[in-house]
Amino acid sequence: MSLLLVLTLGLPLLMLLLLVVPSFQARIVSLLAAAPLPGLLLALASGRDLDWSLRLDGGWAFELDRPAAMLLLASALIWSAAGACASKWLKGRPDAPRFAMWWLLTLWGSLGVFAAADLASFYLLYAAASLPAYGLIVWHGGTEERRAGKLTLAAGLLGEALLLAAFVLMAAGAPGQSLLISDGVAALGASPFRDWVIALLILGFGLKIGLVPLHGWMPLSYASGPLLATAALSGATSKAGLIGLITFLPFGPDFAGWGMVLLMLGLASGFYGVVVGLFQSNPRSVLAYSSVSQLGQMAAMLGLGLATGSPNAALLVGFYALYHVLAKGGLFLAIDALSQAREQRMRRIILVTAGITALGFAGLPLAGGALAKLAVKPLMADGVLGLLFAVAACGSALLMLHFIRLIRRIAPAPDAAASPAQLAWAFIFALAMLLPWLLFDIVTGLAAGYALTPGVLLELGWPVAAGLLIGWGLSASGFMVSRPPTSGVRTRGDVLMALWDGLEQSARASVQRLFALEAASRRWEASSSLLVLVMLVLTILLGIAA
Amino acid sequence: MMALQAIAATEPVPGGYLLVLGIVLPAAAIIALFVLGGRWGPRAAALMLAAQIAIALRVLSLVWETGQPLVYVVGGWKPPLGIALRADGISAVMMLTCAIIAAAAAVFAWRDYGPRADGQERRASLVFLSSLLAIGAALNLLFTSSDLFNLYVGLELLTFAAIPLVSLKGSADTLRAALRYLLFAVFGSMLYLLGIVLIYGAYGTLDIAMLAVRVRPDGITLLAAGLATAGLLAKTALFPFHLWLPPAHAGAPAAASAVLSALVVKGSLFLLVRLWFDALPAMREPQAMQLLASLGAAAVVIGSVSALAQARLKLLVAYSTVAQIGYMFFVFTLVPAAPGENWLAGTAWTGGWMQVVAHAFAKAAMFMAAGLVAEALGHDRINDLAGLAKRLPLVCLTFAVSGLSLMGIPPSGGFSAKWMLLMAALGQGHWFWAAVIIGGGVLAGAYVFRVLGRMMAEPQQALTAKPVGDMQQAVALGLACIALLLGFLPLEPIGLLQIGRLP
Repeated sequence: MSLLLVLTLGLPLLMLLLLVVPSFQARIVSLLAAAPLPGLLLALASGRDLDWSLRLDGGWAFELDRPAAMLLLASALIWSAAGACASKWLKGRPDAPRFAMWWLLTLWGSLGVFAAADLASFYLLYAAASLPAYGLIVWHGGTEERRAGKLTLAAGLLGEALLLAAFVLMAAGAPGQSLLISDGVAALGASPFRDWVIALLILGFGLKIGLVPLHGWMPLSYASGPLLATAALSGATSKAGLIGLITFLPFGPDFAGWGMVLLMLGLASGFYGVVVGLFQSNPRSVLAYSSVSQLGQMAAMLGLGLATGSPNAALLVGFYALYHVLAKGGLFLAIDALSQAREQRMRRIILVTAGITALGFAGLPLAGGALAKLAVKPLMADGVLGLLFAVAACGSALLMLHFIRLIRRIAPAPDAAASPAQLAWAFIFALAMLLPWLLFDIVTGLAAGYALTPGVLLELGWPVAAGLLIGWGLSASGFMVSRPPTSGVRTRGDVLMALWDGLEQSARASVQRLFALEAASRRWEASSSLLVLVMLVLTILLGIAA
Repeated sequence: MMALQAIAATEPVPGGYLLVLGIVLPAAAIIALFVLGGRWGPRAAALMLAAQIAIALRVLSLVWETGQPLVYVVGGWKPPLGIALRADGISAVMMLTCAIIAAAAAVFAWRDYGPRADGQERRASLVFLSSLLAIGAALNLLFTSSDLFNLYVGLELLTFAAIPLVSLKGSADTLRAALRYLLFAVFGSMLYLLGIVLIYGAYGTLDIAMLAVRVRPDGITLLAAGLATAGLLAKTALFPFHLWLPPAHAGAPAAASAVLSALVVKGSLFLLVRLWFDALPAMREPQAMQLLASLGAAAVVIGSVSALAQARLKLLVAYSTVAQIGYMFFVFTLVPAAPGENWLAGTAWTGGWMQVVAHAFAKAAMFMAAGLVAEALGHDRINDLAGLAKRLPLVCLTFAVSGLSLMGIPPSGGFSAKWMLLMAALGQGHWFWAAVIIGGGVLAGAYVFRVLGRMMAEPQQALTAKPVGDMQQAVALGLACIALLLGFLPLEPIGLLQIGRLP
């Protein structure tokens, strides 16, 4: 077990190190799919009873609980599939080692963060999952893409800052300033800083999962850079924020208020993502807003778990997220596959499978997503809340219909068949459909056959049917015109983007202002007279106290 | 009782002679450098720099083992008549830091300033090595002096040893920078000297241990403290008294910049800590200390923002020093003056020194990396660095690793420092300082990524880069790795740093 863990964290690092040696570069680039394999094995080996941990001297600790193991499993799979495509795509390109470096660093953080059990290593791996993505996003180097990269980096740095504050406060309240996350969470109830910690955690992790209005970077970054990279970033690395919420939120009594806050924010994201997503004409932006919506719904479920003090929420949401990792990452691969498919039959296969996967977000019966929806059902009380989640699912169906209608019109690229995206998509599609069936009984304790009972089918099916019906109605009545897909980074109709634009501008302006202030302070007379002033004020301050 | 302790603090201890060696040997090496000439002089100097590390290690281990400060009474005359050298925990740590970085700088610069095959003497070589040795002697004097006048001597020696390094290239720009540095440093020295003259007039002694017991907060003492502090702030280049630092540090050759930014500014900082924590401990009034911390906060924010706005790499690194110095000033307010200190005071104290040491290693490495970039490309314009990662991967790695420490990403000394300072700030309810410490990390991330992003970018046209020395790359990377390894020390107050703190 520990060997697998060491390899999970060590193999990507070793490959990074070997990238420095010119004679190894081509081989490393061709082996990107292998980097996540130890993580995959670790998740599989942890099997049904997942209680183990590794402690090192100096406070470093790693452990894998069930929700983390499921996320690690799915993330390793999507990284591997996308990595296989990336290796093929990079073959013979002179800038391949550079791409591989950003790739491996992000992969390292993205997989490692699921196993981190102390504050320092979580902070490190979370940073690795967030910051190097910049290099992948700006890869194509356009002006808009560079801006997307900068905003993503800014969001990442800001998230790190918020989390650092949360972690220090958490450790300050833990017995003996323990760095173990579990100690910190356990002591949170009695900590004098508890409200600060929870608020900072929600803000910090919220930035990563695109909780409205902290989502501004997400649509821009998902529409930039190579599709293969976006597949991994949207599928796997966004879950660093989710595992953060799962691991750090104290699912017990006394936090009902904060649970409600998270529930509200999550539901708001759930609906906002759907509505704004419908305005997009770039399929990648549609998927990004779908992520805002889906991750928002997961946050809402966690909020509900927090509000009702049910520790089971972590496991159920982890299971729900497993489907999202594979499906969301997979759909980006599907776009890539589609742009390389010329034969009608192949195009139809890809479109149908993508449609099934996409509607799985809404809970399409029999698809893997249906089991994810079914598993989290016990979290949602019946009544208004249950209805709200059903309406969100209906919105997802509508949004995914919009997505399918867009990608139907993607024309095959002239330089097609450059990457094995079709194969990778088939692989991920199969897993996205199968894995939820295999894991369902472990997570819920119910037999998977439960999902086939007529009542369940009806319960899951009506929001999907309703969404599709509304979509058909909207397009038949001319409200939703079928448009050809575009590829611009900018989004449409997202009023909250103004907030991000404003922040960006005021940050630029304050940098200029402070820089001017610094230039003024460098003048001799300014600096010298300030020195005398400081001397006098210091003396006076000392004198007042005395 | 207090007086007895003060006297006990200057009892000689076996091994105390090492402190004398630490000051006298570099001075002797300077003489050897001049006498032995171009072929053997630099070798003697190198030997002495290696000996400095051995001495510092021995001092550190003696202080650690005995748990007592190391004391040497010069000529057997105890203070106030004679002079005592005294190395406590922080002295020992700083001596070692300084010895390692000075030796690394010499190795880094050996190709340019070492002996020549023809045995010819060169002015630059002589100036560089003698300055390096003199800085070592001056810093050791500063770290071990126990009276305010000796500290003044060390401070002056340090300034005059540093100025030739600034103007080593001899261009008009660097001469102007050196002059600017000299003038501002002399201004600072005057203020400090005025301060200690007032203290001598009032108390008849400059011995730190005795002053600690005798000082009264009367008008003269307050004025003296204000004057001495202002003088030291000018020498430390705390914002807004940093006008001399960026041109001086960015204009020097890489090895010299490394020593200036990593070590020289820490000399006056060390003295400032001695002044307030050892000589005038009872006078650390919260409001006055908050003034110092406010200047530190301004330095963190404005220094980082200015670094972000620079077009040249070496200037960016120099402004990063302006910012990083600021963090150390939080110690003045985070270690409360009240007796019966809580554990948070120890955390803040450790965090502050961790910041000093980690910054020293990271910044020395970063300046060396910047120097190698400039050497390879013939310029250091940040916007034209695209493609460098492919040509000089190790140099870029050095920049990245030292950048991690400056940003405060674990495991690194920079992270540990920031963590402990934050812990102390938040634990005592100082939300504002905590916000500045965190915000400074975000800004450091922005300026480090700005450079790394350029280095990693694909160039418009093929980048032409001259090869750089393997030894230089190894030294720079080694220093950066030390900054990283410091992060593996446990995140708790370190006992060594508490040894010999005057009550």
